[in-house]
Amino acid sequence: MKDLATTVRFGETIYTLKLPNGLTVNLLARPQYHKTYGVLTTNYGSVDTTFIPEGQNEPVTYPAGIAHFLEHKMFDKEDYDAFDLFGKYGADSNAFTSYTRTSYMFSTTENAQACVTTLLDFVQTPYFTDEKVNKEKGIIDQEIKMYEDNPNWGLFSGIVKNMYPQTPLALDIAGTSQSIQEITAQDLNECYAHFYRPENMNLFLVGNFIVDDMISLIEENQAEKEFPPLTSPQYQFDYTKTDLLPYRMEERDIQQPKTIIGIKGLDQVPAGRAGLFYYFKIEILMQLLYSESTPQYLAMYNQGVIDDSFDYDFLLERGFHFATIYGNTKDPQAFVKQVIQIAENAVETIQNQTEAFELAKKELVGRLITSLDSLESIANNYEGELFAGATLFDVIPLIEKMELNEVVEVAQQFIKEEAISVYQIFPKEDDIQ
Amino acid sequence: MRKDLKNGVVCQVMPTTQFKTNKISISFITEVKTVTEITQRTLLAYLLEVSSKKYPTQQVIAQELSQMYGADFGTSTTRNGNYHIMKFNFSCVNDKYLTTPENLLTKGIKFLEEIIFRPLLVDGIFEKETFQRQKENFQTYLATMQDNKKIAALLALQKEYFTNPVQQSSVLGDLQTLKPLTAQDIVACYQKMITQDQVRIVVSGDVQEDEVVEELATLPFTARENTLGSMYYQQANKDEVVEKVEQEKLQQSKLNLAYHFPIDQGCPDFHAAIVFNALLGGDARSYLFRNIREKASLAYYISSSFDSFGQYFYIQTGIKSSDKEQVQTLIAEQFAKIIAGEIDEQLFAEIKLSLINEHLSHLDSQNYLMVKALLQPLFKKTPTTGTWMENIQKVTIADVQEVAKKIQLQAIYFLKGEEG
Repeated sequence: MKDLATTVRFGETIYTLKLPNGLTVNLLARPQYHKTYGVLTTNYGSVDTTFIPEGQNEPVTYPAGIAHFLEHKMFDKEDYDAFDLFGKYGADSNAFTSYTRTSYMFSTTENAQACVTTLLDFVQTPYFTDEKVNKEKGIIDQEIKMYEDNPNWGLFSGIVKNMYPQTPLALDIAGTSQSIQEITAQDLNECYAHFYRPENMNLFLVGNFIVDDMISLIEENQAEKEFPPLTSPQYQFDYTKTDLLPYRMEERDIQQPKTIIGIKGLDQVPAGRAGLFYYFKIEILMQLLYSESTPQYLAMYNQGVIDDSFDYDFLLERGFHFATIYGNTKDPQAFVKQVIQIAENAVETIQNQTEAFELAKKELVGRLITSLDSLESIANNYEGELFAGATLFDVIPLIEKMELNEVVEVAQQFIKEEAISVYQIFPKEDDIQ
Repeated sequence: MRKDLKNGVVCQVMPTTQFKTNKISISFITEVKTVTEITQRTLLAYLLEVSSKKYPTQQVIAQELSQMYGADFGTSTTRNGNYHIMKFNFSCVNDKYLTTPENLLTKGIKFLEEIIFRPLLVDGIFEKETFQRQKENFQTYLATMQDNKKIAALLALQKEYFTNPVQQSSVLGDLQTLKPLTAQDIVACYQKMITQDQVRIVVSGDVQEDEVVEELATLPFTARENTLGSMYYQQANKDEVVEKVEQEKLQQSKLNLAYHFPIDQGCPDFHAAIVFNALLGGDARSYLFRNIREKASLAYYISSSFDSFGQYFYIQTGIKSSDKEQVQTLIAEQFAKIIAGEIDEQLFAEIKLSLINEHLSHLDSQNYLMVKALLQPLFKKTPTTGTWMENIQKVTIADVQEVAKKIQLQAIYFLKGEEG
């Protein structure tokens, strides 16, 4: 098994290889598991709407929601549905689209090899017709409407639009009822040709299989296919350029006000694995500022400013990163004031908290080890090129060696007053019960 | 290994090397007779999750858990048929994977002992401020549950279908019974739970069975009688179909249908019922999904589910309000097709294969294995020959036709969105 880079942690080995056609493959055998889980990911998401298509000279902007639409239509082939094909093996399959990724996955307890072939073949064989495209519009329209009715989704989507106005990030992943009407089979073909190429994709397999057999199968499958030599896909947006909107609100039929605070990353995230280290430094920072373990949390909780719905997140993808802090609150003004104050005092708050910092590290290490029990979590958390191929197994030693002053440094770079935005949803007056 | 620690206090330790996590769950099981009791138990679960004498605030609890390498702790309440189960769940990393051994499981058992047996009482009642805050938070949660329309519509359907108020209620209880509750009420509820509920403890992980049993035996449980009746809730089939329509400003309308399905896990046609559900709407290749979503493009989600503890079968979908009649007609057609035996043989075989795949996949989930270990001994199952998988394999199209005939539409709930 030469030429394979291996990572040994916890008595397990991840095999990583790059095929001649550029496809990256990661394999982790779990002989004690019944299941095999496979994910094929393309470095293409909802934000990648503008590029110069092959054979043309001018950039084209495609309708919002096109990556997600393409994901839906990928399963539907000329004379079969890929979903049914997996079904013949008793396997389950699915897919998701995020801002910068599209992933197709299967899960099976039998016929893992046949499922891998099916996964590669169906994603690598595009077949789009206008008839099929038009038929999908009703389904996706209902998906969009389902999200539009969900106030928590509205809250998140509202803050992202605040932070990144006039950028593709401000468009919902699935697009709008109007934008999806414009999508044609030709559009899907052009987007597919631009982004769905082996060098822009990776396959992650984890579960009950024999690594050598699987590698031969994948190598043979890929050697049989021809892919046109093409220029690199264009990922062109600088998301820090546009000014953020500091505040917006809306009214809805809800029971209690909802507030979300966004902190937009204006700083440069280091490239490669250092980017992953950056990610976990911010995770620890957020934990030291807003987790249940902090006195700040307890004070807000005891004042009734926050309740159990309070939470925070940090998202780092290709080209952008931001933190959100959100929850239901009966006192939206105090919520905004206190959450922002904590952010702005971050450096003073954390700089002497050696003990809390060690605790936060312990907690993160424990949680990551626990997450290794989930095959889905191992494979889905793989970010490919973004972190130079780092996996969950690489993360733990990084965290173990982290020092408090590094987190303080990151807090100084990341939290800027001018990068903070607020979005709120209020109940309509006549709805309050 | 299953062992009675005391009368009515049973532990089951399941050693496995498959996982890197050790988990304990302690369940208190009772039959609730009123909605008030459900609401009380949920509020009690809220209180015990955030406070105890030794750990008086959630900050202290969170720090204690971080100290145990991000151990996870939470309380939850579920309802299975006539039983109401309050659970204390704890999970931690197996010591093997840490740089220094910490004995985390032992610490976890001690932690649970503090939480369960020494609540934060002042002069014999729950500390006033904590009580008020948790009551208020619970109240807000019940109110905001209505903001998720899929959940709201399902609760509304439940209300129309069930005749028993306890079954009609959300598993958490309701606002009406919450308002008058006092700290004294919750103390009484706690006393009843701690002395009278059946207790089941399940442990999973790479552990030494006898050592864990020995540690669990030190928990100060007292013996109690098992007075539990049957887990299965039953109600009579009603001749009339109830239909309720409500209107709200929404982009998407929700159409939910409830059916009486008198099948429980002891029935000879239980496995046929499982295959029937998967074929009708439980699987993404089912007739409902295929014909209403894929062929007619009328919905993004449509599915059927089957609660074998409550004789309850239901369909949920989100549609355009003007499509309601068409969707209902299509749903009725799928039932008719199955009853008439117009079932594709290959699809039938594949649906069974997919159920088996799902069953085997569950063996990779520690939580699933623990729930199964808890529930299976509770519903005194009639012994069947063969394994679950063999029984699924044996189901024929004729079996599914027969079991499908037992289903009766009882209630329709339509949450009408304002648009078109």
